[in-house]
Amino acid sequence: MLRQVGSRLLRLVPVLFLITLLTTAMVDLMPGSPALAMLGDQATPEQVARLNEQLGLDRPFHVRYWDWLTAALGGDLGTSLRMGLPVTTAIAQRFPVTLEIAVLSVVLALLVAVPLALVAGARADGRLDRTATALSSALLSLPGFAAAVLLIYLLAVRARLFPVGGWVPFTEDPIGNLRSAVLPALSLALMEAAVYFRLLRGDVIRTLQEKFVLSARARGLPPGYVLFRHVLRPSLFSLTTVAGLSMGRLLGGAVIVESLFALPGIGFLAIQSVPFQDIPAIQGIVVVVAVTYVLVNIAVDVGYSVIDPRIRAR
Amino acid sequence: MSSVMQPAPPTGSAAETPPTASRAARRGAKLPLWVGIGWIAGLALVALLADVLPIAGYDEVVGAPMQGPQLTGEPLGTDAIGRSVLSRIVYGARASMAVGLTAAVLGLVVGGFLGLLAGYFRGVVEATIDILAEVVQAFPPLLFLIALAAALRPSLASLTLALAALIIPSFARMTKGSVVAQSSREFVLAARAMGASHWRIMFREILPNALMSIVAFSVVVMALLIVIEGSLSFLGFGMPMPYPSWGGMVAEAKDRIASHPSLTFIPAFFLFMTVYALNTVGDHLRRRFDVEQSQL
Repeated sequence: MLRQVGSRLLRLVPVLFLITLLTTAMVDLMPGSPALAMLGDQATPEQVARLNEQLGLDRPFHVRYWDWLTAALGGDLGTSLRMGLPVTTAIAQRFPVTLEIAVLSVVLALLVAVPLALVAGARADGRLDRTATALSSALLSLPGFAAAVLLIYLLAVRARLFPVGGWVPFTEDPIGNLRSAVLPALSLALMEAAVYFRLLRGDVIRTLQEKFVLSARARGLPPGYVLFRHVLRPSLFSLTTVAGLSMGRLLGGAVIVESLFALPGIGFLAIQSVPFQDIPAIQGIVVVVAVTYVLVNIAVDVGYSVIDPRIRAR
Repeated sequence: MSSVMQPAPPTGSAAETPPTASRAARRGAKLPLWVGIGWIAGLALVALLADVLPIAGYDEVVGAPMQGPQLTGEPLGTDAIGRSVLSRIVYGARASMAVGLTAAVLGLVVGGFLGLLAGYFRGVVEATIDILAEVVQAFPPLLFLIALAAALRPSLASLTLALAALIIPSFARMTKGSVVAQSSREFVLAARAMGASHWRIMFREILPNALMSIVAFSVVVMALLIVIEGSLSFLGFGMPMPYPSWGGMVAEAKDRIASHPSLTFIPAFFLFMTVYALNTVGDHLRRRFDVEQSQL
C-alpha cells in the first residue's frame, strides 16, 4: 500500500516538470506579450519593452524557468502579473470557494443517485427504473453550461429561489452563502448524478444476484433492510472511484460554472489570467490542480481499504 | 467546466447492461437509433448545404431585433441585433460538425497510431506515451484549450488542432488497451511464427481486429468534442466573431433569458439533441462490437 502511494507520487514528478515547462513556454508561444496585454494597444514599443524587462520576461526561456523552479521548490510560486499579489495568496483566497462548490455538488449528486439507484436496481426494468435510466442518459448529453442556464431560468429567474449569480462569503452571511452556492453546485451535480446512478444501478443489479442476498431473503429479512444493509456496501466500489475522480476534477475549478455565476474560485481565476498572459498565476494554478488531482486519487485508493477489508490484507 | 471534459462513461456498454435487463429496457433508455441517425444525417446535410439553402446570411440583419416568426417571417425569429436565428443555427451546425468531426478524425489517426505502437511494443515506447498522455491530462482541460487556442490565434483550424491535441491521449490509451488484448491472441502468434514483420502484424493482423471498437469510441468522442467546442464558444474563446456557434449563441442570449428565453433555449436544444444523437449511435456501435468480440 505504502509503496504504491510512493510510486504514484514519484510519477507526479516528470508530469509536473513537463507541464510547468510548457506553461513557461506559453509566453513565447502566445502572440503579443504580457506587457502589451497590461498596457493596452496604445502603449509605445519602448514602454512595452521596459515593462517586459521589469517583469524579467526579456530573459531567455531556460533562465526564466530555472528561476521559477528554484523559487517554487521553496514554496514561492511568484507574483501574479495581473493582480500584483503572491500567487500562493491568490490561490489560497479562492480555493475555499472551489472546494465548497465541489463538495456540495458531489454530496448533492450522491444524495439523489444512491437511493434512486438502489430502488431502481431492486426493480430492474420497472417503471421507475426505466424513467430514471432514460432521464440519466438524457442528462449525460446535456452540456454543463446548458444545464446551468436552464437551472438559472427555472430556479432563479422564474421561481426566484436563488440569486442569478455572485458569491456571498460564508463569514459574512452563512445562509446567503449557501443560497449563492446551491445553483452552481446543482448545475455540476446534474451530470455527476446521472453518472453515479448508472454505475450504482448496474452494480446493485449484479450484487442482488449474489448468494448472500438470496440467503438474507430466505431468512425473511425485509426487502428494504436487505437492500440497505446487505446490498449497498458491496455495490459501492466503482462508485467510490468515480465519485473520488470527479471530486479531484471539480477541485481543479469548474471553469464554466464559476465564470457563469461569477464565483471567485480557481477556475474563474485561471480563465481571467489567460488574456493577460499572467503566466505565474496560470502556472501556479496548473501545479496546484495537478497535485490535488493526484492526491485525491491516492486518497480514493486508501479509502478502498476502509470499505473493503480484503484489500487491506493484500 | 471540467466535468464536461471526461469522455462520457460507457453508457449501456456490456459492463453496465445487467443480464436481467430486457432488450426493451435497453431500448427505452435511449433515443431510438433511427432518430439519432436521422438527426445527425439531417444536420450534416443542412450544414453541408448551408450556402445554397434559402436562408439569410449568418451575419445579415434581416429585421427588428428579438422578434418572433410572425413579424419577421423568420421561422425561429431574430436575435438581439436582428439576425436570423435559423440561419445562425444552420451555420452553427457547420462549425460544430466540422470541428467535432475533424478533431475526432485527427485524434483517431494520431492517437490510434501512438496507441498501436504503445500496445504492440510496450516497454519504453509505452512509458513515454503514458507520460505524455498524463501531461496533457494533468492540465485543466479548458485551460489547456484556451491557452493553446490563444497561442495559435483563434480560428477554425487552431480550435480543431487544440481539440485534437486534447483528445489524442484518450485515443492512445483506448487503442493501447485493445491492442494489448489482441496481441496475445493465437493469430498474432501464428503471424509471428510465420516470420511476419512488426509492421505487417500491427497493421494487417491487429489493427483490423481492434478498429471497429476504436471507431465506435470516436463517435462518442465526437459528441464530447462538440460539447467542448460549445463550452469554449460559450466562454468566448471559440470561433472568432461574428461566425455563429451554438455555444456562443447561448452566451449571447443568456443575459436576456428572462425576457426572451427562446433565444437561449433554441441553440441549447440543438446542441443537446446533437450530442444525444451521437451518444446514442456511439453506444449502439460499441454494444454491437462488444457482442461480436465476446462471440469470437
